[in-house]
Amino acid sequence: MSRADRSKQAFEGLYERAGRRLLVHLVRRLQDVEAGTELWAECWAAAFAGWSRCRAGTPGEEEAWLFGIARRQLVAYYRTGAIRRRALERLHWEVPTVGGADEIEELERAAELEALRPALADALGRLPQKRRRAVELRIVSGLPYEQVAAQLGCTEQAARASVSRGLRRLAELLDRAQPIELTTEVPR
Amino acid sequence: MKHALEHDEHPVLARMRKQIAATPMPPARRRLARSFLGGRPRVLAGAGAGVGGLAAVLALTFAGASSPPAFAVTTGAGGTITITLNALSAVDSLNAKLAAAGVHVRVAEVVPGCNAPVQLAGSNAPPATLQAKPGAGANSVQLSATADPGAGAGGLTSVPAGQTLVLAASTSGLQSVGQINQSTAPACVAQGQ
Repeated sequence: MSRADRSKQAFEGLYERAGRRLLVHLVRRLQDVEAGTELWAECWAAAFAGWSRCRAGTPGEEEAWLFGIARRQLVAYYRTGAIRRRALERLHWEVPTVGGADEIEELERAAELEALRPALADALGRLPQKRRRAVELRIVSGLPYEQVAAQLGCTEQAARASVSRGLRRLAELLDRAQPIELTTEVPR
Repeated sequence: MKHALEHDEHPVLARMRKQIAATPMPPARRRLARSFLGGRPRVLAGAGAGVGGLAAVLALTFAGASSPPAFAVTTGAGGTITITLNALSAVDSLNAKLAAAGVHVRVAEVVPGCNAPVQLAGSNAPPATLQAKPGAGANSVQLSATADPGAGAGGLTSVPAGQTLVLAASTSGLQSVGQINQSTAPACVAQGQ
């Protein structure tokens, strides 16, 4: 078996261990099956493209490396409100389609979105007023940042910061309310 | 707590696994070739007010034969705006350029078959008129969007806050068009765009 084959085998092993968990994690973070699946696919494409640079020595370290990629993707998504498909495009991969209501519902159940909604409402209510408004305008209403800034009466940069911090705080509160079960310990 | 996916294979997982299995592992430190716009439909989405005049001309030029610029934004007489996109990898740069120019048009994606009607939300005016015709290149398409005269100044220049004007195109022509609200966006419109 060649070095490349061994490397790919190891990557496929990582996918078997962490594929489902990362999918559920991202769907839960984004509260949206389609967006979560798209970000998940981009994460796997980025991981695949960068696998040769992964210096992890154990399965746990590999997973930590993978979740590090996911964290960066999430931060970029929180910052821009858009999911970039750079790695997917480089590899000519597609975002796997979530085919039909049954498959969407199955993912929503797995991510326990229904159960999270009260926690989300509660978490939103615990954000400072301006930050909550920023998240609502950007994420719920989908306004561009310049309009968010106009409605908040601040600069666009300040609006971006409010949304980003609000989303991060929401993620912390949601994780506390519904911790994600890890089947494999992921070292920090 | 156990998730359903801990035990049952979701079809999405199998679909991604297939792509992984079918792709050779990239060699270390090798830069991958940039991808260019191909058969997958693209959507141009304009949000907010001010498309730079009552008429906006959007031109999507697909990859040509000889190193065309990745993207271009030019303004013509009467506020006509021409947007050219040749390389998909330039989408972010193009969007940044559009934002800097104050043009409320963004490039995003839809899945094949996306379809939604065009109607300015909150307006009784007839839907905007959208036409597609072959562009200059063999694989290019030019989209023209003009507000109906009956809409007056409240046409394309006054898209309500939170609404998005969607124009979708592929190499085969106009794919779909729509005025959507972010919270009720068709499932085929990529989220987060």
